[in-house]
Parts: sequence; C-alpha cells; structure tokens
Amino acid sequence: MDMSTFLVSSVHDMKNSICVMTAYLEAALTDLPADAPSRNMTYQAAYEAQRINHHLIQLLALYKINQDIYPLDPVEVELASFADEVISRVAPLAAARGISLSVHLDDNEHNWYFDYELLASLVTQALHNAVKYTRDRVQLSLLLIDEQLEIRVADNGEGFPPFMIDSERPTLHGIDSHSGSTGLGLHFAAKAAHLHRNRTRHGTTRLENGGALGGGMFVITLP
Amino acid sequence: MAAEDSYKNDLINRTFLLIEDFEAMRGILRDLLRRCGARRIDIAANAKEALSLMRRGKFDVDVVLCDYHLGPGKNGQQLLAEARHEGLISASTIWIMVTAEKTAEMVMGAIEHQPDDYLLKPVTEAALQNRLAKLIKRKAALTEIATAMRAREYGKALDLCKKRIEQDPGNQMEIMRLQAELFLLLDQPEQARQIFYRILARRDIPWARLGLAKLLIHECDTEQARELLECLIDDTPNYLESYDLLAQIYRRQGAWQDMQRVLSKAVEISPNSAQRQNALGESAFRCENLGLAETAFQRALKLSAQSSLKVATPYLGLARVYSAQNKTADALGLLTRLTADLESDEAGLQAKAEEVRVYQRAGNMEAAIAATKTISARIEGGNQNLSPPATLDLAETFMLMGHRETASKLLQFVIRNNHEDSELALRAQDIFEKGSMSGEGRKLVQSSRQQAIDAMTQGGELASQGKLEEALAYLNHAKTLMPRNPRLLLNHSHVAISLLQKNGWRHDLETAARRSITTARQVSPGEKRCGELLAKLEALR
Repeated sequence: MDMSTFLVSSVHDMKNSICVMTAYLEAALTDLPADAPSRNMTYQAAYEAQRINHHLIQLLALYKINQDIYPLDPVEVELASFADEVISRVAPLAAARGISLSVHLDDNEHNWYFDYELLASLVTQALHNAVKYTRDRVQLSLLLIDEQLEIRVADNGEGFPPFMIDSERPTLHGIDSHSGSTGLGLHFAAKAAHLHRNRTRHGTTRLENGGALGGGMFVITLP
Repeated sequence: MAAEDSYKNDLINRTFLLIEDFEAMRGILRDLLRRCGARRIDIAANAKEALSLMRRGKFDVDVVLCDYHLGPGKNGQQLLAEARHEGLISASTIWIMVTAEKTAEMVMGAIEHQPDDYLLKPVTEAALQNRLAKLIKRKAALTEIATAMRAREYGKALDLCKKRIEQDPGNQMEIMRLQAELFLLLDQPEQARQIFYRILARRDIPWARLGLAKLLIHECDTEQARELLECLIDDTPNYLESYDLLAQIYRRQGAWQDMQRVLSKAVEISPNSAQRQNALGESAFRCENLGLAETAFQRALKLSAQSSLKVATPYLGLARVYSAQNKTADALGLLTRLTADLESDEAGLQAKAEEVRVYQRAGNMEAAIAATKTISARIEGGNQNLSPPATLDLAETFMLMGHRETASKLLQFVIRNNHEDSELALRAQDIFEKGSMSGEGRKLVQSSRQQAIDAMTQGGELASQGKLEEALAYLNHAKTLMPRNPRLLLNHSHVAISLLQKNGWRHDLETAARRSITTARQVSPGEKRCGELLAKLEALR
C-alpha cells in the first residue's frame, strides 16, 4: 500500500472520531446550565476539535493539491446561504467569548462560482482566527470588486505583525515564530485560492491592517 | 426566532431515513436530526436494510441522510442509483450524502446521478440545520419544474423557470441549465444557444460548452464540435461527459482508433462507468486490440452486475472477443449467462444469434443450424420490439446460415422503419453482401425506403386536402407495416392533433397522438418535432 492510501484512510478514521467528539461536546453544552463553570472549557474543547478537523482537511487537501489530484468542484454558490453556514460554525465560540459577528453582503451579486467545501473550510478557519485575536467584533463581507468576489474577514484587534503583511508569500518559518501557528493555514489558503480560475485570472489571498473594523483583515479574491 | 420555529415545525411532519453503518455515528446523527426538529426518523445500518425499508414504506421518504461508506455491500452512491431506478424515492426526495471528504469519483459523476448535496464530517447541528433549510427551499422550487418535465409539460416547466428566476436571485445557473434543456426538448435550439452564450459570457462553465457542442453535432457541424470538445477536455480534464460525446462523434465517423484513444484516457480518469467501458471495448474490438477489448468488457460486466440497469452489450462484446480468441466454451458460457441475467426476449434472441456465430466460427455447423432453428421459431410471432442493432444482428446470423429470405425480411423491416438512417442502410447492404445478395440487396433496400417515403407522401397529401379522417385511417394502416418509423409516427400524431384542433378534445385521439410521440422519441431520441407536437397537445388541454 502506498502512503496516500494510509493517509486517506487514517484521515477518514480520525474524522469519524472528531465527529463523535464534537457531537458529545455539543450534547454536553445543551445539558449544561448556562452558568456552569465548565461551560467555557467545553466550548474551548469543541473549538479545539474543530481546529484538529481543519488541520486534517488542510493536510489532506494540500497533499492532493501538490500531487495534482485535488478534485476541485466549483459550483454556483448562493452567497447569503454560504455566509449563514460559515457564521453558524463559529457562532458558539464567538458567543462564549462575547464577540459579536456581523455579515455584509453585496446587493448586486447573489451568486458566485467556487468549490463550496474548500472555501467554507477556509473562511471558517479565518473566522476562528479572527475570533481568537479580535477585541470584540468580527465582520465577514462578501463584495464584488473589479468583477471579482472578495471575501473579507475583518476584526478590531491588534492587527497582524508587520512581517506577516510584508512577506509576499508567508513562509512556514516566518509565521511560526509569531503566533505559534504552523503557517499551514495561510499556505493552504493561498494554494486553495489559486486553484480557482476564470480564464486567465486566478484566486489570491492577502493580509491587511486597518480593514473594515480597524484591526486585521484577511482577504480571499476569487475570479 | 420565529423563523426558526416555523422551520422546526416544518421538519416535524417530514419523514427521514438515516443510513449509517457505524453504530456510534448512527446515534449521533439521529440525535442531531432530533435536535433540528425531526421526529419521524427511520434508521438503517446498510444498503440492504435501507432498500427493504424504502420498499416497505407506505409514504415517500422526504429526506435521506446517507453515509457514503456503508461497509460491505453497496455504497451510498450505488444505493442512491438503485433507489432512483426502482422509483423508491421521488423527485421531491432530498438525498444528502454524508462523507469524510469529497473524492474525485463523487465530483466527476454525471449531474443526474448526484445526490442533492454532500455534507462533510464532522456534521454539526448548525451545519445540518443550515443545509436542511437551504435544500428544502431549493427542492420545493425545483420539484414543481421536475414534475412538469416528467409529465412532458415543457411549456409549463419553462414558465415555472421564468417565475423562479424573477422571484429568487439565488442559484440561477441551475435554473438556466434546466431552461436550456427544455428549449432543446421543445426543439428550439436557438433559444438554448442564447442561454449557453449568456453563461459563457461570464465564465467557461463546462456544461454550457458541452451544450454548444451538442448543438453543433445536431447541426452536423462535426468538425467544429470536435474542436470545441478537444478544448474543453484540455481545460477541464475531469469533465468526463466531453470524452463520451467526442467518442460518439468518432464512432459515427468510423474513426475507431480515435475513439479508442479518447475513451482510454477517460477510463484512466474514472474507470467506473459501464457504458464507457462498453464503448471502449467496442472501439478496441474494431481496432483488433483484443486484449484491451477483453479488459474493457470484463470491467463493464462487473460494473453492471452491481447496478440495477443491465444491458446485453458487455456480454455480447466479451463473447465476440472470446470467439475471436478461439475460446468457444467461454463465449458460449457467457451467452448462457446473458440469457439468465437479463430475462428479456430481446436479450435471449441476441444471445442465440451470437451463439450461432460462435458455433459457426468454431466449425460446429450442426449446433449452428440447431440454434438458428430455435431463433426462427421464436420470431415467427413477430419481432416488432427489437431494436435496430438487435434486428441487424439477427439478420446477419440468418444470412451467414444461408437463410436468405428470413434475413432479407428482417433487413427490409429495419430499413422501412428507419428509412432516413443512411448508416443503417449501409450496414444492411453489408449484410446482403455477406449473403452474396449484393444486387438484389440494393434493390430491396431501395424499395423498402420507397415504401416508407410513399406512405409519408400519401398521408401528407390526404391531410393537406383536409381529409383528416382518411389520412388518419391511412396512417393507422401504414403504422402496422412500420410501427417504429419515427417520421411516420410523428405524421400520425400530427394528423391526430389536427383532428383534435378541428373537432375538439377526444380521449382516444389524445392517447393515440401521445403514444406515437412517445414511441418516436424512444426510437429516435433526437427526433425533431417531438417537442413541438407535445407543446401543441399541451395547449389543447
């Protein structure tokens, strides 16, 4: 058996485990009284389970992208419903931390064309990060700019350290030293965006400071 | 909160079927469904249990939540295909496939075989809730359109599409795709082309490019269609329908090498389509590439064994390969299996006809003669429901065995019923030549064609003189000679509809008109005028 078979089958297995963990934690949250001291820890545990899940998705996807076998499945996506879904994935964590989430949709564009699962995973991850580093607000915007869709995740936290913004392509090392994150997220985001193409234009990602809420802003552009 | 409550109430009355082999997950998904508001939930641990639950069910299932991996036996995709094929789920059933990741196979399947949505693990309450709400809304709109399409009320379906686009700006592409399909069914290719152009103005969407290629083929601009399809394959190599369409072009041109090349590439990307493997086997056999043909037909056989839709092609193809390899016993064994597995008269006859040829090739004339006698006895009662290829197979066998008269009757029948198909005429002429009836054959092909043309002219003349009743009687008579001639069938329905327009609605006439159109479309799916006539019938109601 080659490596990819092991990789794929163990990821499937781990995902089943995460599924069970997440479900039990969600069930525990429904049972816990609102003022139970263990409530926040349970939220934290559910969030960590989500993080493991994201990392698994990203590792597997990156492996496939590098092997040139990623089964990209662009479809027409209704943006309002997409926003609902990604927001619903981070809403419990945000609520637990007292952070308000808002959505800003473009009135002129209701649909776009991309790989739903890939982008949902990407944007959820960005929202999770924003919730972690913001002061008290996070905004998701889906805007039509220069005939491309910009998905922006903005917060009112401290913003990104300058070296992250400066580096054209964040390297694995560069990011590691700052936040303890592996840099996998940004690397994955750039690769995943690039898979999306309309004629000659490819998708891109970028980081900004200032943004809609004055803090950090992560932007995915899809042609 | 009010909106959420009404949505939960909506779920209370719906019936759910949960299919999951992993016990812990089963409990979790059931609890998730309950927390979303579902109350009527049936549970199955594998495909077999699910099928028996659906077969027993007195009511349609509204929502199916099905794990893709179901342990040994059928997987979620095969289960979905079987449920659709058996009519266990309806156009309004929502089928959600739960999976750890979306694989290439899921992405590349043809759209009509796809579930309504994939839900990736881990499934959370919020994600499930969101997805259910979205799918219920979308399905409600699409079901109306799908139902109209199934009832062949294409005009009504188009109206519904238009209304939907005006009311809801979400998922417009899906509706436009249906619109294009409807315009093609109504034989309005220009309208369909406009839709493809509108889509392509913004983005190279594969189905719209494929649609354009189909239009070009329909207009006999094969060269441009071929170019377009080659570009499409270059840009989106995973879009397999373009390989299949290109292979069809090559088949029509008799370019077997090209056909083999393009299908080999497609099979490398996705080996799991029986139809594609059959086509590859056919082209490889024509190229005398017996090894490849054998592999392809064997794969097709294996695939169709898992599916509910069995066809004779892989059995016959593999039997031919074995026979050419002088493996007579294997060839005969396969033909016995064909008869047993398919249980249809046509398949039985085709198996017998092939059997004769296997014996003949092996030099066992006694057995060949005996098998020929069996066939003659069986087709004495009539062979009206045989497809043209099956009829040609029979004719070829009779010709090889020296039964010239039977062969020639069969060939004339095929020509009369397909008088405009020059490819069939060529094959028929081939068979006449195999029986050393070259000159006579040419005359017979010619006279059979003429017979059909005369019937069209005569019927048409009566109708244009306003003698509609006489025209109908004449065409009814001609139909007994040419029960599967699409042109004649459509002329017949045209006259019946004119009578309805003149004298008012009559149940028997409407049924007759509709039946003629249905048979015509069955015999010749791309037939012009079918849509037009159906629209007229629809307007009469």
